[in-house]
Amino acid sequence: MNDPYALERRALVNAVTQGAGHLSPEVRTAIVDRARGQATDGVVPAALVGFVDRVAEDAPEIGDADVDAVKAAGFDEEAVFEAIVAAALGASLARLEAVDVLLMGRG
Amino acid sequence: MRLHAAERGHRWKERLILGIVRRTMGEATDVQRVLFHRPEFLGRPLGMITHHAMRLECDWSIAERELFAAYLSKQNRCDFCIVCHGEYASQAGDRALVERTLRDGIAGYARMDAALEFLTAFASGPDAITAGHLERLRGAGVGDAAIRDLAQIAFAFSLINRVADALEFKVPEPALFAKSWPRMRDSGYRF
Repeated sequence: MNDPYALERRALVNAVTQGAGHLSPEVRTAIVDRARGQATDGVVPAALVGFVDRVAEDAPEIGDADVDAVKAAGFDEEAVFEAIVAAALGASLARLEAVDVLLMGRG
Repeated sequence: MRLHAAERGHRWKERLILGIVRRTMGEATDVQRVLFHRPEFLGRPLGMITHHAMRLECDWSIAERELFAAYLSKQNRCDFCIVCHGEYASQAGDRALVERTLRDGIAGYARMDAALEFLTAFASGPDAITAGHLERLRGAGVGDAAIRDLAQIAFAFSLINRVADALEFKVPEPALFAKSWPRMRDSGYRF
C-alpha cells in the first residue's frame, strides 16, 4: 500500500535536519537518529546527549535547569530549540516506522 | 515558555500574525508562538502532516481524531495538548464520551477501544507496538488506510507533545480552545 503521507514526512525531516539552522545538519541528523535508536558515533555533542535523550524519552520531567545547563555549555536558544525538535522528531519517527514495518509485513 | 527566542523572537510577518491572533482570541498560545517561530523549520511542514491526518476525508470522524490527539497526549503527560484537544474533541462530539475516555481509557465501542490500545502502545515506545494491535484494529473493522491515518496522528502529536513539555507551554483555560474551535474545525492545522 502506498503511504499517502510519505512526501509530507520527507519534507518535515528535510526541514528539521537540512534547513537553515544554528546546529549543523550533521548534528541535527544525528540527534534524530539517536532518538530513533540508531548509533551515531559521537556526532551529537557530549553536552547535548543527556538533554536530547530526555526530550525523546521523558520530556515531562525536563526542568529549567536542564535547559540552562545546555545554554551554559555554549548552545544558544535557537540551537536548543533545534535540538528539542530534532529529538522529538526522532522519537516519533521510531514509533511510526515500527507501525510501517507491521503494515508492510502483512504480505 | 522556557526559550525566549521561541516566545518572542519572531520575524515581522509572524509577529503580525500573532498580533492578529491576540486581538481576535485574547491571547496567542505557546503552540502558536512555537509554530510561527521560524515556520519553515517546524510549523509549516508539521502543519501539513497534521492537517492531512486530522482534517482530510478518512474513516475516522473529526471528533474521533481530536480524541486520539487528546488521549495520546494523556499517555505522554502533555497537559497543554490534553486540554486543547480534549476541548476540541468535546466541541466536535460528545463531551461525556471524551471525559470518560480520558478518565478510564475506555470509549465503549470496539474500533475506538482498539485505537486507544494502539495509542497507549505508541506512547510507550516502538517495541511496544505489535502485530496484535493491528489485528485488533482490523478485527474491529478498521482498514489499513485508517490505521495509517491513526498512526500519523500519533506521530504528529508525539512530536508536539515533547516540544510542548520540553519548553513548558503555559496551559490556557479550556474556554480559549472552545473559542478557537470554529476556526480550527473549518481551517484546520495548515498555515
